[in-house]
Amino acid sequence: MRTKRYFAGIICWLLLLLFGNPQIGLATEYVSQELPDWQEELDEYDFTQLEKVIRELLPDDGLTFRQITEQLLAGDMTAFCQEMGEYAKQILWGQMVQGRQTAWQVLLLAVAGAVFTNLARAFPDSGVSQSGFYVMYMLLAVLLLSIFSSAVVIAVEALTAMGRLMSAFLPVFFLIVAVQGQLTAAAMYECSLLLLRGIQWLYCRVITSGIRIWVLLRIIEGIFAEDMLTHLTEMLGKGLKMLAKTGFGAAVGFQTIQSLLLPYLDVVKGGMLVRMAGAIPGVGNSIRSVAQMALGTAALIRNSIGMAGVVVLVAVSAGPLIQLCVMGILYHGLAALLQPVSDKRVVGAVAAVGDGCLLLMKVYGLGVLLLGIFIGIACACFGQVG
Amino acid sequence: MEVMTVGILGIAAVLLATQLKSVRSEYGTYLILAAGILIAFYTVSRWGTVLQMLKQCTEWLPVDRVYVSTLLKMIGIAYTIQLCAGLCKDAGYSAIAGQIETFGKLTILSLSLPVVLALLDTVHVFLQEGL
Amino acid sequence: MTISLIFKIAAVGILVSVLCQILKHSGREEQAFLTSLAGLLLVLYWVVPYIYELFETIQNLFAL
Repeated sequence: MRTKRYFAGIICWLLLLLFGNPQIGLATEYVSQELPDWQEELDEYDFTQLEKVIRELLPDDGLTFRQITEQLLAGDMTAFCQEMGEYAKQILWGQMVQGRQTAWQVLLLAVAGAVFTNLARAFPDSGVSQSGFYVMYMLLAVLLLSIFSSAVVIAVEALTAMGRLMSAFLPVFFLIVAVQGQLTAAAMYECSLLLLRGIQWLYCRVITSGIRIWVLLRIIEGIFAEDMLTHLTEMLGKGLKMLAKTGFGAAVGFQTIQSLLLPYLDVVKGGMLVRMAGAIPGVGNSIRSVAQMALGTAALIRNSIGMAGVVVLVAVSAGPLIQLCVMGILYHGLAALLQPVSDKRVVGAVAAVGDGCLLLMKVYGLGVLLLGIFIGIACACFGQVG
Repeated sequence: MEVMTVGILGIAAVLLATQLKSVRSEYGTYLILAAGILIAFYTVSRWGTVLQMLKQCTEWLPVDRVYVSTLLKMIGIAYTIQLCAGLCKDAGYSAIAGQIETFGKLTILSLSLPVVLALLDTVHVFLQEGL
Repeated sequence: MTISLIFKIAAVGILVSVLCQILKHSGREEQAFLTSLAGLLLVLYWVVPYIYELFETIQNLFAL
C-alpha cells in the first residue's frame, strides 16, 4: 500500500516538474497520510496543482483530475465514459476547425493553379504553360511545407516532453531501487528502462527528422516532369516505417519487459475487443498486436497506480494523436478531391503531406505506448522489489 | 455572336490576301496584318473578361499579390509573342519570328525566378528547424 | 474597327495594282512606283493606330 501511494506521488511530481510547476512538497504530503475513507483521502490529496497543470495541457476546461478519480472510485462508469467522450469530441472539433482553414487555402490554391495551367495551354509553344505550372507548384509547395512543419512541431514537442519525463524519472528510480535493495533484479529493470528511453530518443530525433526529409523529397519530386526521385522516396519511406517498427519491437522484445508484460498480454489476447480488431482484413494483424500491447500496458499500469494514471496518460497523449490523425485524413481527403481537377503532381504533393502526418501519428502512437510500458514497468518493478 | 464575326473576318482576309498575293504580294501581307490586328482586338476583350474573374478568385488566395501579377504578366507576354511571331512567319520571315519567340521564352523564365528563390528559402527554413 | 477595314485594304490593293499596270503600259515606271508607295502609306495610315491601340490595351490588361 505504502509503495503504491508513494509511487503515485512520484509520478504526479514528475508530471508537474515536467510541465514547469515544481512542487516538491507534494510527494511528502502523499506519503504521510493514512485515511480509511476515500473521500477524505481525496480531500487530503492536493489536486489543485495537478489540475492546473492538466488545464494547461488540455485545451478545454471540462476535465479535472479530482473528478476523474472520484468517478472512478465511485465506480460510476457511465458518467466517466460520458466525460471522456465529451473531451475527445472537443479535441476533435477544435482540430477540425483549425485544420479546415489551412486545408481550404490549399484547395483554393490548387484549383486556381489547375485553372491557370489549363488556360496557359492555349499557347502551344511558348513554354508559358510549363513556367506557369512551375510557379503555381512552387507556391503550393511553400504552403504545404509550412503546414507540415506545424504538424511536425506538434509531434516533436510531445515526444520531447515524453522523453524528458522518462529521463527525469530514471535517476529517481535508480535512487529508490538502490535504497530499497535487491540490486540484481533492479539492474535488469534499469537496463530495460534505459532501453526504452533510448528508443524514445530515436523516435524523437532521428525518425521525425527522417519523416521531415521524406515529405520534403516527395514534394520536390513533383517539380520534375519525369520520375526522378521516386525510388529514393520509396526507399526512405519504407526505411522509416521499418525503423519505427524494429525500434518498438526491440524495446518490447527485451527479456525483462517481456516477462513483465506477458501475463497481461495473455489475459488480453482472448478479449473480445482484440479479437474483433483482428478480424479487420488487411491491417487486422497489426491492429491486433498493437491493441494487445496497449491493453496489456493499461492493465499493467492499472494494477499499479490505478486507473486514474491510465486515464491521465491517455488524456494527455490523446491530444496530439487526434490532431495528427485529423490532419492526415484531411489532407488525404483533399488529395482525393483534387484528383479530378489537378495535375498528378499537385495531387501527389498534397497526398505526401497526408502520408507524412499519418506516419508521424504512428510514430507518436508508438512513443506513447513506450511511455506506457515505461510507467507500467516502473510500477510493476516497485511492486516486486519494494 | 462575336465568334461568327471573327471567323468570317479571318476567312475573308485569307481569300482576299490569296488573290492579292498573285498580283501585288505586299498587299497580301498588309491585309493579313490588318486582319490579325482586328482579331487580336476581339481576343483581348475576351481576355479582359477572363482576367477579371481570375482576379476576383485570387483575392481569396493566401498568396502575395506579386505572384499573381507575375502569372498574369507571363500570360500577357506569351500572347503578345505568339501574335507577333505568327505575323512574321506569315510574311515569310521565320528567322525573326524565332528570335522573337526565344526572347519571349527567356523573359517568362526570368519572371519565374523570384518564386524559385522563395521556395528555396522555405525549404532552407524547413530543414533548419529539424536538423 | 470593323470588317470593312479588310475590304478597304483589299480595294486599295486592287486599285494600286490596276493603276500600276496602266502606268507601266503607258511607259511611266517611276509613277507606277510612286503609286504603289502611296498605296502602302495609305494602308499604314489606317492600320498603325489600330496596332498602337492594341498594344496599349495589352499592356494595361496584363500590367506589363
